[in-house]
This record gives sequence, structure tokens and C-alpha cells, in this order.
Amino acid sequence: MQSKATATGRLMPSLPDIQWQNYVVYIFFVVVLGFFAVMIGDKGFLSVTNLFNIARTTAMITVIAVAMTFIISAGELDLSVGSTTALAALVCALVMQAGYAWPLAVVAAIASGLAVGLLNGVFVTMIGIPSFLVTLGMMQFIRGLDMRVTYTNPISITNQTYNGLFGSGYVFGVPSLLIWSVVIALLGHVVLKYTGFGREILATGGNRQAAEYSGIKTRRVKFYAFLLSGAAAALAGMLYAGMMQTARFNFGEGAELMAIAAVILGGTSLFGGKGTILGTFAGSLLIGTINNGLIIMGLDVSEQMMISGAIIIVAVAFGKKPGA
Amino acid sequence: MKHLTMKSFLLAASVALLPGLAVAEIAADIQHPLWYKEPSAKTMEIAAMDSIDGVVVSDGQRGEPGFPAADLKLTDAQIAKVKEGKFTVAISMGWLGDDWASQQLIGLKETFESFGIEVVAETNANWDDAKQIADLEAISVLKPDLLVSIPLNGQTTASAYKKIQEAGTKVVFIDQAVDGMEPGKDYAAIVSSDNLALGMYLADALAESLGGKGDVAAMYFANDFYVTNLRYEGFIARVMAKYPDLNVVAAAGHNDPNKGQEVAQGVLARYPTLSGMYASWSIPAMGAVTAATVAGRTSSDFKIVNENFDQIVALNMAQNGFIAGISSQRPYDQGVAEAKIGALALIGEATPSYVVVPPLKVTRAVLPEAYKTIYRIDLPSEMTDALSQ
Amino acid sequence: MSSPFLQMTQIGKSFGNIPVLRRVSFDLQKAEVHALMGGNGAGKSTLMKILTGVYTKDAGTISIGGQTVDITDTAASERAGIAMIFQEFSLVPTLTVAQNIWLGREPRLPGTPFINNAAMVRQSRLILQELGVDIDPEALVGSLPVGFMQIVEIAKALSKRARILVMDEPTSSLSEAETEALFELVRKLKASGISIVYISHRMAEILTICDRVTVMRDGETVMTEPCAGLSVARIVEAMLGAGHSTSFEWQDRGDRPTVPPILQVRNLRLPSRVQDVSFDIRPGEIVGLAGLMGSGRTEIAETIFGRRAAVSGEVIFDGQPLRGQADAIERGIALVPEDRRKMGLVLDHSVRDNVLLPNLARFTRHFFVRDGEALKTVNGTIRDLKIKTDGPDKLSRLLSGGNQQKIVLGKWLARDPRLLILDEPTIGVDIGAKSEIVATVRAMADRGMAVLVISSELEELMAISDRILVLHGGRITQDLNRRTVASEEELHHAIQGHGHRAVDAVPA
Repeated sequence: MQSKATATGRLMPSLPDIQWQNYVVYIFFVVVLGFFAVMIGDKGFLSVTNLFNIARTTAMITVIAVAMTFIISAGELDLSVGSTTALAALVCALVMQAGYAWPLAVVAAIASGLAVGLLNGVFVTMIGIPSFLVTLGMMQFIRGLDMRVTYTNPISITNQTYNGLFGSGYVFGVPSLLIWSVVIALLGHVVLKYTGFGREILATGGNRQAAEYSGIKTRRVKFYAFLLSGAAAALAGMLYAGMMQTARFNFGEGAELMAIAAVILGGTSLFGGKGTILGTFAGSLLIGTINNGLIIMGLDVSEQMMISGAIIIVAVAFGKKPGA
Repeated sequence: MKHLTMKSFLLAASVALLPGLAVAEIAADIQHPLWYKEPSAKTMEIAAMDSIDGVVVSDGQRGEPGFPAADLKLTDAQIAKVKEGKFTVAISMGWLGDDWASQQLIGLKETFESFGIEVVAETNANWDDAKQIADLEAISVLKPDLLVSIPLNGQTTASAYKKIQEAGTKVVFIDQAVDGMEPGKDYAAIVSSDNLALGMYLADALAESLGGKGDVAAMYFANDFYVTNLRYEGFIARVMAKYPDLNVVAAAGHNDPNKGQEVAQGVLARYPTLSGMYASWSIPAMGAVTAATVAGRTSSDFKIVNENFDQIVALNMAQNGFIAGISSQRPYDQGVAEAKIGALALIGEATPSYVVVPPLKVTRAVLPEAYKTIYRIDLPSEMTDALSQ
Repeated sequence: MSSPFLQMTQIGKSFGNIPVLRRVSFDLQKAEVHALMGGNGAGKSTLMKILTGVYTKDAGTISIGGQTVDITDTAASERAGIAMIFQEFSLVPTLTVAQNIWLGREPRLPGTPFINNAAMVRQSRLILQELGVDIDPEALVGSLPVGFMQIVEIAKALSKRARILVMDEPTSSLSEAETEALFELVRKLKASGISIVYISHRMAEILTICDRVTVMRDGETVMTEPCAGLSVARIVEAMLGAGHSTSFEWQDRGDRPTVPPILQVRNLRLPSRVQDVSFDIRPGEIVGLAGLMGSGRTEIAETIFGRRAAVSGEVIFDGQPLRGQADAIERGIALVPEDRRKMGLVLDHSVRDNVLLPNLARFTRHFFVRDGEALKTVNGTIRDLKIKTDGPDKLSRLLSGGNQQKIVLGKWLARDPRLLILDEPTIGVDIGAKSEIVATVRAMADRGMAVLVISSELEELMAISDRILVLHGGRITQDLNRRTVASEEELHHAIQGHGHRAVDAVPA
């Protein structure tokens, strides 16, 4: 419909004050959780261990998805995050294997993620290649690099301090992975919502030209978003490595799409300009809960995939605003 | 308005259907994979035997009996003739990234080098049969004399292999052949692990570590993949025939080795008293290790067996971890056998069409010897240290 | 008067419990051009959306040619012979003219599903010939000048056998010559018996081309009269209601005090048409920049704002040369750009976020935006500029053109700029909002802000400027003190390049 804004100001059909479409991911999360609780609550689904399981398996996707929310809100896309998780995990494991202390390994891993982000940023913002293509190419390149560096061999991580801190440990009875994902999500939420950088991200994605005419340096903003995304992917890779006590070149395959799904489920606009980190967090948990519940139900993989795919589509359909 | 109600109705209907479908499925207790077939009478007969050492269990896809790989020999005259031919070979792998693939490649390359056969191409389809078809098309341009390859899918890749064969290239298949190609005529041979035996050894190893009783689960690769299908079948057959007190209470699939942990977590959450698990491949097995750790299980009350003897699984076994048994293939030997049969085919010798490499059962007690057998080097020091503790 | 061709009687419409139209009646004779006017929110868009089937009416009847018709959706409206000529063009630029005209209704080769391209082109040519325009049906729409696109829209409507055309602000993006051509076309359409509802904010235009005017205000028709003998003042009065301010008339603000200029543009040469442009603006002065479309006015504005680089020449602000956009903004230059929807606003963001956009740095301390503090400024802007919105969190997309423009203006005024550049500030802005914008700008200028106004509406330049620069052939050909310009015609001649007068001495 080719409507014009004129004369619609106060004449828009009056909508209820609370737009429930904005909360659809939370509603779905509660419904899905409730459904599984009733169906398989007695089959171990509701056990604390299992609920922690869900949090643990979604931690990596959550961390990636938080940064992906910034990227998508700025009107870009980063497909290279999946292979970057593996790169950072390998760098981290190799540095430790070479006998250096784990903090150094962590710094090196983050640096590798930042390097990928930097390259993406340069190609997108300075050379002006669409981010879809840049990061698609980068995804391949980095995955190849991951294979080359290790000849596809896994590298085990024996440093238990590292493994405890980044993967398998607990802090006051709470899995460290859950703490990581909550901390990153809260941090992301605060940055996107309450800082100047967050506003600039949203303005850049909402209307790049208008943002520039308002003095926002949109290229710099996007560049920082790619750095952020690279660093987040690196952290996700370290969490993955800590959990598996191993690093492997094929970590994070398909993680980029899971992260994008979590972001969109959460209510962030795929076209930029509108993003919510809390929604993303809920989206990531929703996906993890569905996967976990369907496994416990004992369904065949094919049925699991059909059902989880259908739930994602239905949730997004419910979240769509009428006429939007 | 009409559209709106229609949309709401569709959404409501689809939401209502999903749990319906799920409820219908939840009742079934142990659900075998979609591709699962009952073991044959012959398999069950062997499965019931007390010891299956030295028995070739698997037949070829066409029912041909397996020829033991160890019996393959080339005479000096034959080797000289191969060297004279200055042949070329291409290797198309379905994946890389585990010791199975790397050892296989080493066996192939070392043997080819000793025969003076040049490797002109090496491809990795990364589990994607479409990618493998593209790889094969690229290989066909090079017109190698020989192709050694593991087809990821017997149907989809068939015509790509056929095209290469028709151009005059000899073909040796790893593990399985493709549809529409005849042994002896279209391809020289299939060289395979004895996958049924491999599955049976897994059952033996698990039973041994559990004293023959307890509730166990099988975590299988959900895709219809010939070799893993057979292992699952062998495992189930052996448990049914030989271990009446071992109960397989759950069978759960994964369609991506990286998801092993997620699946194992679910199984452990649902069956907290589970005492053992067969996990197909090492990545899912290590995922199961992580899942068991976070579920608070210990290696004294939970055992995992798997069929990839790689470094991380071996290390876990040496550390007295959850990995209690490995039914190992002999990828290096298999690579050597493939190269030998390829060389024989290149000089026009008749070859057996189905060559079988027997598995090797690995437990903590025999770890150093087994490691030496498979990798031809001594156990790494970190494992020896762990063993001595 | 004969019985009307289209008769809309006692039309009522509410959204929720807000009545938008209360018993509105509107009629259209055969072969009549009938202007529909009114401020934003007056209800004219709603009325036209009911006619074109986008909305359904709550009450009233519509009859065409004496027959009552039931317009339930856009298809029904199309069947009744009604077509909307969109203001924002709904053509596909990558398709040809003929393909656009027949989009979705392409003639087929008999008995086959294949498109009969020859017939499509032939029929398109026929329609275009009837319209008396020389457009190649096989040309890509994207390659046509804007003015021609509208003609293709009209051709498309005629191909559907439309008898009533609704034209919404048809001249808003047309040049003078294109506007003239469009008027010619409208006369032709009229002669062939087509009736036209003509929506526009431009008074002069309406008095030139229309037969009758209907003015709406607050969901009611307040006036319907023949154009002959009607004055602009009478229409404005009807639109605003009695006793409204007259800020759209020129006010002599007196001589500016002799202070050094804040902006000095020196021998500016740009990659576009601008050859050699020099001028000064003093604090408190409102300077109009007149020139044809494409004469380089916008480019000059964007160069001053630092968004474009000059080939040669310089821009000196407050004694120092400018270095790029960041420097320009930092030192107090503001630009309200030409296309507010594309360059001025993030439409999906709230009024608050838009106003804050160029002010983020001011409200950010230690990375965090002080929202409480910021909200005070935003509320101040909404109040000062009389932005009609439910609140600061309303999406700017949902506001009218005039209110949107006030947001763009407001976001810059919140920075208290020393030089404000307005590029076509009142396109698509209703007369009420227009006069409010003019009043605000005047008030700011009185407090010492320098203003450069670019406009294609000479009426507007005449109303607001203290001084008018005429840009022609890449140079400032005239620098006129507003007091010495007697009429719009005089200015009109100047920008066409006729009647060069010696450049006036810079007024003291």
C-alpha cells in the first residue's frame, strides 16, 4: 500500500496501549516452557540440571546473538561469527598448549576475533562491499584457516582453571556459562538502550542518510559494531572450548544462522533501526528450550527439526504487526 | 478484517497441531532410527556367538563375502609394473577433521608414494553430497587413472562417479559403493571396516565395563549413512542376542556431531539412572562426556563407548574418564588396503570386490598396544602419565 | 449546474471513537477540476481514501453518474472508474513505460499464457498519443524525468478506463516547465471529459488550474466555491478559521545592524553546475536562495554544511574556514535537508529519538545518555514548535508532513545553531504548519541566528527573506534586497535568466 503520512497523525486507528506483538517472544517462551513442564516435567525436563543444561547450550548462541543484534540493528549482517568462534577457540587452545598462561590465551583469542571484525569492518565501511558478501566470504575463509591451522585435528585444553571459568564450572552453584550469557546480555542491553553508541547504532540502521545528515559518523558506528561482533564471537568460541575442554575447527557451524534466528525471534527488525537485546536473549532461550524439550520427548531428529522450524515461523508470524 | 481472522485461525490451528503431533509420538518408548532394519538371521547367529574374534561379520552390499585386508599382497613384479605406469590418483574424501580421515589419508598416500603413483587431487566434501558432486566434476577434468573415494550418499552422487568411471578412471570405494555401479565392471572394490563387527565389539566393551547389566542408551547418527547404520544394527543385535540384562532404554539421534552434547544432556535428564551409552563418533562421545560431567555423574557409575579411537577420546580413557571402551577401525590399514587394491586394478589384475578391515577393541588395559597398532607410534606422554596414575 | 457526476453525501468516518469525518459532502462535475484543500488532519486524505477504497466509510452514500456505488475495497473503486495518481510514485523504475502501464494486466497472445508485447506497446503508444506527450513506451521508467513519471501514472489510470482522477500534490517535485506541461495535460484531460480531484497546498496553482475549490477543516467541509473571483486570502481564512495569524505575509524586519558576516562563501566551484558563487550572510539575516531545479542550490547548501567537497573556493564561518561536516555541526551550522523522509528523519523512531539525534553528544556523560535531561529538551521542542503528537514516544512516521518537518527543524534548533540552512522547508507542509515554521525561523533570526532558505516556491521566498540571491548559470546573478522586489513575477523572471539587473550593493 502506498500510503502517505499526511493527515494520519492523530487519525491512526487507535491501537491498544500495549502492543502485545512486542512481547511475543516472551509469551512464546512461557507457553513453550509451560507445555514442556506439563508434558515431560516428570521426565526430567524440570530438573535443575536440565534447566541449567538449556542455559549452558544456549550460552554461546546468546553471546553471538547479542552482538548480532547490534549488527542487524545497524542494518548489516555478520555471517562470519560461526567460523570465528572456532578460530578463537583454536587460538586459545594453541596458546595454552604452547605452555603460556591462560589469561594470555584469552587475550590472544579475543584479539583474533577483533582481527576478523576489523577486516569485516574495513571491507564493509571503507571499501563499501555489502556486509552479506564480505562476511559470507569471511565465513569461508576463516573456516578454511581453522582447518589449515590444526590440520583439522582437535586440540584438548587441560587447564582446569580455564575450563572452569569459561565452560564447565560453577559459581555459587550456578553454571559459569549461564553467568556469562546473563552478563553479556545485560551489558548489551545497557549499551544498546542507554548509551550514545546504542542510539547511533539504531539511527544508522533506521535511516543511514538521516543519521549522517544529523552528524552521526555511520561508517565508524558500523565499524565498531563489526569489532564488537568479532569479539563476541571470540568469547563464544572460548566458552565452547571451555565447555568441551577441546577446540576443534568445526565449532560453531551454523551458529550464525541460529544467532540470526534468535535476534529476529526476539523482535529485532531484519531491516535495521529497531533492536532489543532482552528479546534476543529470550529468543535464544526459546530456541534452546524447544531443542531440549523435543529431545527429552524422545522424538526422531526429523520430527524435532520440523517442529522447531514450525514454532519459529509461527512465533515470527505472531510478532508481525498488522499492516507493517 | 476477513484476512485477519483467517490468519489468526491458521496460526491457532498450527499451534494446536504441533503439541498434538508431539503427544502422538511421546508414547513410543524406544524408537529406532527411521532407517533401522531388523538384523538378518545370519547376523543374529553370529551375534549370539561367545567370541567373534577373527570372524568376518559383514557381507558386501550385494551379499558378497568379505575378503580380509591382511591377505592382500602385491608381488615385486606387480609393484615394478605399477611404477612403470606412472599412474595418477585422485582422492575424494567425504570429510576431514578426525583421526579416521587423517590416518586413512596417511595410509593411502604412503602406499601410493611407495608405488610411484602421483596424487593429483585431494578433495573434502565436508559432509555435503552436493559439494562432493562438484568435487568429482572438478576431478573428472584431471582425468586421473584412479579414484579413491568415500561416497557420502549412494544415490545422489552415483552419476558423478559413473561419469568418471566411463572416462576410463578406475574406482575404489571406501566403505560403500553407489547405486548402479557393478563390482569388477564399474569399480574395482569396496574397502570397508567390518561395521557390523564394530557395532558388536561396542556392545561387548559396554557390557564388559558394566558387568553385563544395566540401563543403557544408544546415541546414533540420524542420517541414513550406510556404515553407521550397520554399527547401530550390530550393537543392537549383539545386545539382544548376548546380553539379556543390558536394557537399551533410549535411542536418540543427532544430525550434527556438534549437537552430541545437547542430545546426551536430554537423554541423561530423562533417564537419570542410566549407566551407559553408545555414542556414535568421537565428537558426540565427548559431548556425552561433557553432558555426564555436568549431570554430576562419575566415571565409576557411567560408561561411554564409541567407535573413533582419536586423541581426545584416548586421553579421556587414559585419565580413567567416562570413555570405557572403543571399538576402533584401522583407518591406516584401510588406506593401505585401498591403495593396494587400486594398484592391482591399475595393472589389470583381478581383485576381490569386497575387502574387509577388522576392527580393534580398545580398553584402558590395552591402550598403549592398541595405540601403537593404530598409529604406529608410542602413546603420547600425557596419556602414559595419565595411565600410570 | 447540471447534476454532479460524482456525489459523496454525508460521509462519516471514525477511527476508534475519534471522528475523522463528520457528514462531509463533496461533489464533482463531469470534466471538472475540483481542488480539495485543508490543513493536515482536516480529513481530505481520509475522504480520498474512502473514495479509492482504502478505507470504508461508516456513514453516507457515494454515487457516480446517478448510480449509488458501494466501494468496499480498492478493486471496487477501480471498477467504478476512480484512479489515484500517487504523490510518491508507484512505478517500477526497472520496467519500461508500457510494462508499467499494464503491470498485472498484461494483454496475452490469444489462447496462451504469454504476454503480447507488441499489443502492449501499441496500446500504450495510443494512450500516450491521446495525452499528447512524446514518451517512448519502450523506455525504462527509471530513465525518465520525474515529470514524465506522473504522466505514465496518468496513462496507467486511463488504460484502466478511469473517469475520475485523484491527484495528490502533483506538482510538488516538478520543475516550472514540467508543471506547465502538467497543467496543459490536465486541461486536455478535462476537455476529454475526465473529472479531477486536485489536492494541493499551492494556492497560486489552484487558482490557475481549478474550476472549484472545496476547503475542509477538522473533518468538515467549510467552503465550496468556484475559483473565479476567489482570493488567496479567502482560502487561507477558510483553512485556518477566522482570526489566524498572518505570519506568511512578508514582514520588513528592518535593516540588519552592521556586523561582520558570519558566513562568507568565496568563489565556490563545485563538480555540478556551480561555477563561481560568492555571498555573505550576517547574523540575524534571512537570505533566500532562488534558482531553478538543478541549478545547484542544494549542492551549495550541502557544501556549506560540509557534506560535499568544493573543486575550488572556500567557505569561511565566523572567520575560520570550514573543515568537513563534523566541524560545521560543531561550530553551529544546521541543515534541514531537502527530503525530510529520506535525509531528515528516522521514520521508525520516535519524536524523542529524532530530536535527540544531533544532540546525543550533549546529553551523553560517561557513555550514558541522560534521558531525563534529554526529555526536558525534547518536550521543550515539542512545545515551542507546536508539534502535534501524542507524546515524545510517538513514531515520527505517524505524524503529518508538517509535524515531521517541525521535528527536523526542532532537532537542530535544540542545538541553538548560529547558521540555519533550510532546503525546501515547506514541501508537503500545510499552510498552518508552514506559517508556524516561518514564525519560528523569524523569531530565531531576531535572536541573531543567520538563515539561508532555499525554495522553489517563490511565494515562500518572498514571504520570509530579507534578501534574495538569484542563482543562474552557476553564478549568483542578482542579490536583491527584498524591499526592492515588487512581485513574484519579477523574481520569476530573474531565476529564468531574464532581465539581469546589476547586482545590488550589499544592503547596509
